[in-house]
Amino acid sequence: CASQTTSPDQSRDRGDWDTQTERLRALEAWSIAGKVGLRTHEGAKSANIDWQQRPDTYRILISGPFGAGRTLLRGGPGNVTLISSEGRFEAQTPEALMEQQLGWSLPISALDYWVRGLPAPDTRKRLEHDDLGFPQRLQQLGWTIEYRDWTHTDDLWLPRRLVMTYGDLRATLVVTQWNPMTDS
Amino acid sequence: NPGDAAVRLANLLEPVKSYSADFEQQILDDSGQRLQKVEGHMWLSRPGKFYWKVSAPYQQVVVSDGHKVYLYDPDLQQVSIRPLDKRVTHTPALLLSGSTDALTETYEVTRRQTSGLETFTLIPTSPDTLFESLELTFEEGRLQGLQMADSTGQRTAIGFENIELNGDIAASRFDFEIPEGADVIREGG
Repeated sequence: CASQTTSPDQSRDRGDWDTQTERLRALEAWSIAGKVGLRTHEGAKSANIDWQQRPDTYRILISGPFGAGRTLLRGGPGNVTLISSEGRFEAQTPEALMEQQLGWSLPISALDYWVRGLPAPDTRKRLEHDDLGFPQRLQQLGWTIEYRDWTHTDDLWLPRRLVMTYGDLRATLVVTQWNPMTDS
Repeated sequence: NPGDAAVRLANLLEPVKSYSADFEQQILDDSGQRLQKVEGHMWLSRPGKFYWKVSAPYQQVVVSDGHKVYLYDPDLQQVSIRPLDKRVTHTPALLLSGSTDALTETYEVTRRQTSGLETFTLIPTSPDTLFESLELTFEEGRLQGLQMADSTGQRTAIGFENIELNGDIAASRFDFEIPEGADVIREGG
């Protein structure tokens, strides 16, 4: 995959965000590796996440250490398959499958945008920016997404830490490896 | 006869009191495409103790002190603690640090030799396992790789390098201290 140069110590500047929004929207192929931490009143759990996005397909691996208890979501136009040690399951949406098989879910179709710092299209939103013009808090589909940290990779500022809340569910997504396969 | 393979494997594992190595772990889907790759270092001390430190592409630590397993995630500031699952078929890392006679009761072991590599295939005898087959590969008598295939055809493949056998590892290595401010989650008893 594309070699990526991460420059952690670079600092964000005012206006950086606007200049790259178009490129972020055009980004249809990317991959991330990181963690998801979930907390509800019932308790907390965490999992590793490896998400490979292509223009009309995606693969999301949710796993524990040693790859234990792993679940693979394979999405294509109009259908998605979940593969785990329990078997192979199909449905229209990833959210339904995750709830069914994992007991929790994240709005995958919207997260495809949120993880790039963009609001999901065609849905009401409330978006607040920080003093550098970067997205700080996005409210959409009943979720509140806070952008807590950013990483600079391949000349793009990309979210590194998102805290997403929905009712009493609090999900923290930490992206430790961002790989935007920009064809430029 | 098949018993020989298990005996041979036990003879290879038995003298290993401690083991330390860099590892690279890959998860492959049923068509062999890579879904995940992590790297780090593992320390192992028999019986039952291991320290599995992932350093790339993220930080994560799994420590077994022989009784409890601690999973610490510094990005999430979370420590989950659960009793060590003694079932050798559930914790491959435990297999390496477990007693060798547990091996022969729990697995059907077959062996093949190809040039310098000696590979043992272990098929769990009880259905209640996390994997369908486990392969251990030895080079000149040293464990060099581990591969687990599960019922969906996915595989976890772990390769070891810079291996140190029976080096002295401080006992404190396997005592995990819960970091300040970490969210502690106790699971399962």
